[in-house]
Amino acid sequence: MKQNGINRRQFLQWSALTTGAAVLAACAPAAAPSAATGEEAPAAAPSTVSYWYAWGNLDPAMAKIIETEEFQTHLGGATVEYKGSTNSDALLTAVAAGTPPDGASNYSYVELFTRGATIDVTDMVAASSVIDGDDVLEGLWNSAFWDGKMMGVPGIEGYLWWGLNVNVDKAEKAGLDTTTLPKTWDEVFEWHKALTTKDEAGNLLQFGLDPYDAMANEPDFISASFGFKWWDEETGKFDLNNPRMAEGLNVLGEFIRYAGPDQFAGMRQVEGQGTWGAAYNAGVQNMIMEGYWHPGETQIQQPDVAQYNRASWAPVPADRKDANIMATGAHFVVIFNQSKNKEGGFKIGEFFNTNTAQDIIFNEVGWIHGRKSWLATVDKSTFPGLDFYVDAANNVTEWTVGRRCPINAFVINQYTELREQVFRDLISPEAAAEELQKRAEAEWQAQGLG
Amino acid sequence: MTAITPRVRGMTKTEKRNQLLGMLFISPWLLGFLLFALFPLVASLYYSMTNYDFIRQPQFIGVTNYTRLFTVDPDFWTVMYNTLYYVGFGVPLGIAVAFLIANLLNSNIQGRTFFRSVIYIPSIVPAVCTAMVWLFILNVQYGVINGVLKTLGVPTIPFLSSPELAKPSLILIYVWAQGTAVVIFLAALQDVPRSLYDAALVDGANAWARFWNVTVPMCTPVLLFNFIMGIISAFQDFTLPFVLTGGGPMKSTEFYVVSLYRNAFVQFSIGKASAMAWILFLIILLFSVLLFRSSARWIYYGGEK
Repeated sequence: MKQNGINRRQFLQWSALTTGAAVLAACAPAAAPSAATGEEAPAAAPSTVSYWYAWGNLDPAMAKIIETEEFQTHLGGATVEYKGSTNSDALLTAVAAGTPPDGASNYSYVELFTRGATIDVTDMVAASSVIDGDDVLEGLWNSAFWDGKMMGVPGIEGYLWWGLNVNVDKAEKAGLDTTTLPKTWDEVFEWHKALTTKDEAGNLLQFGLDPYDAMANEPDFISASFGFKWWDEETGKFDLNNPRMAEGLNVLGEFIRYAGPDQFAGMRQVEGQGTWGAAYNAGVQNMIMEGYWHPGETQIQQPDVAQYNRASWAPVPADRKDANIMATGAHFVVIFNQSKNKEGGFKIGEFFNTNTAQDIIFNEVGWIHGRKSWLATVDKSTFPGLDFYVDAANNVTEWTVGRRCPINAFVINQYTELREQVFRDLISPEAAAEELQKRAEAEWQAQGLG
Repeated sequence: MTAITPRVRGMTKTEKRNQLLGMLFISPWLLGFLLFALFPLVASLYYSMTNYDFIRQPQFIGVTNYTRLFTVDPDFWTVMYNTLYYVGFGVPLGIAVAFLIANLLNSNIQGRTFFRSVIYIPSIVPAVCTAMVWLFILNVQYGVINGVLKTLGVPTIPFLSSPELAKPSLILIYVWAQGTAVVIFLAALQDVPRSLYDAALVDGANAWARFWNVTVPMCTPVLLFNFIMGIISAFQDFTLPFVLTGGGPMKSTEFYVVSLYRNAFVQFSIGKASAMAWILFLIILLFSVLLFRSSARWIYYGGEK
């Protein structure tokens, strides 16, 4: 009898074949983009540009930027595939698989560039009619370079990283004179004591400064504050076992000892779950070391606290009280060796240098880019505390270009553990500095960077 | 005397065809296994013997990653101790509590169905949500428990922020989330023949004797299963410490897999992370083999060994 349709066995056979073929097809490597030679006709520009961003903050600004006609014209009608909150594990996996995005921001720029994942964009930037290096704050512009090569297109955000932000309302209620904010560690510690309160049972109700929170978390900060360089970019040598490092560990540790290490740790666990600086926004932390983004972000997230925000210079030891220390470093749009649409990735970075993009980012997220001509248009009273950052650039005495060490993440990890051992009195500051030096050198060798 | 060897019969056409079809039918799974399980497994073994950072070409360095982990790595022994502490206390405690709860839920208590559902809820809630809830229960500053203590004017307890208490607190959460083990134990308890309890009753056994001499022996195969599954999952616990404490305070909750992740994706040391993965595999294998080897002494298989 002639069968109509297919029987069960045939169905299974075809299913297996189809699935197998589909899996094979999916696993086949994507065709590598052919290198354009002089004789070949240039390939048509891809109609999509993929752009990844590590955090979630930029999402509302990016949505508005993409909507503008100016941006669409700039990209020649290409469609932008934007992905925010895309963590570094996703990015590294994509890089390893040979499928990175066309552009990406807020990842470990130095680590990616020194290992050859991202390309030198010097020529692209030089040929741009939009990006003007002379219009960008010098230190910020210089932060884009590694060994004379440009790691990415600066522009999305980047300005001054360090300011002591104070909730002056809380300070005044604590009886402090807020006409002048504290500058030396001794002065800041007095404020810390005044702003730290506990209940009758000894439970922490609020505190002054967590000296290892936010931007003070990294070795860049303690070394700049105490006046030494923990890593030399020229020689690749570490100087973590420095007497001033030990001094710094002791001075900063005292803040935590005063409030209680366990209470501090608990505060940070909660804080880490929300946005950076959540304890400050909650009004339980009254001083915080933050950068140019802090006034705007606080205004957008917690206006009732932001209205009392004021910023001043990052603390230094008394013997360096005239030092106005500051770090900078741009965020870039980096382009990968294997990006399919390098030109598209570059155009996104280029557009971040326009007033349109910078206005949107400033208003939606509170971020600044240190482009002088745009900064001149910023009303520094927009967000309380912003005036310090806008005015400070001309009064800095010691600049640090931040996060330059290729094993920065490793050093931060070890520094976090060892400083905690110091303020819990499990190890001396000198021993911690020595141990940190030893660990950093061993890792440097282990990663084949020596 | 000449040994008689059986003649090897070749496969018939139909058998060959059937075998081919069989292979074809399992090919989707087989391909998936080869590409997404076997290949990464072999690749990770190779990477464990290289200096590899996801970006540059791997450089073969033999067993250097392994020796560095055992001798110079600043974190390896800390995370190993943390993990063994967590597994060593958490798994037996979790099994004991799960078995106890399963016994309670197997009795004729009122609202049994409700309690059975409630006990299982932690197993279906995403681990991140669980971590967040516990954070706001245990946190020294904002936690519910400490909120009550503050109101009473009593000093707070730094469950998650003291290096001494952080690991026991995570073990407490681990024990709380034993819903799956409870369900498996419940199934085993319902398979225990009623006649054994009746016989024990006739012999004058009290409740404890019935539990110890009937229930426990009859459930030992499931106890072994839950033990092995518990060890495998506890050694690989990631979400809870990562979200809840971030490995702190002072790396007291930096567990093995959290450290492995940090090495791979934060510090660009995929070679070292691969070596860590293989060491973990061997440790889990060792524990599993030891459990299986010892099982003949304490598992009751209905009279059969």
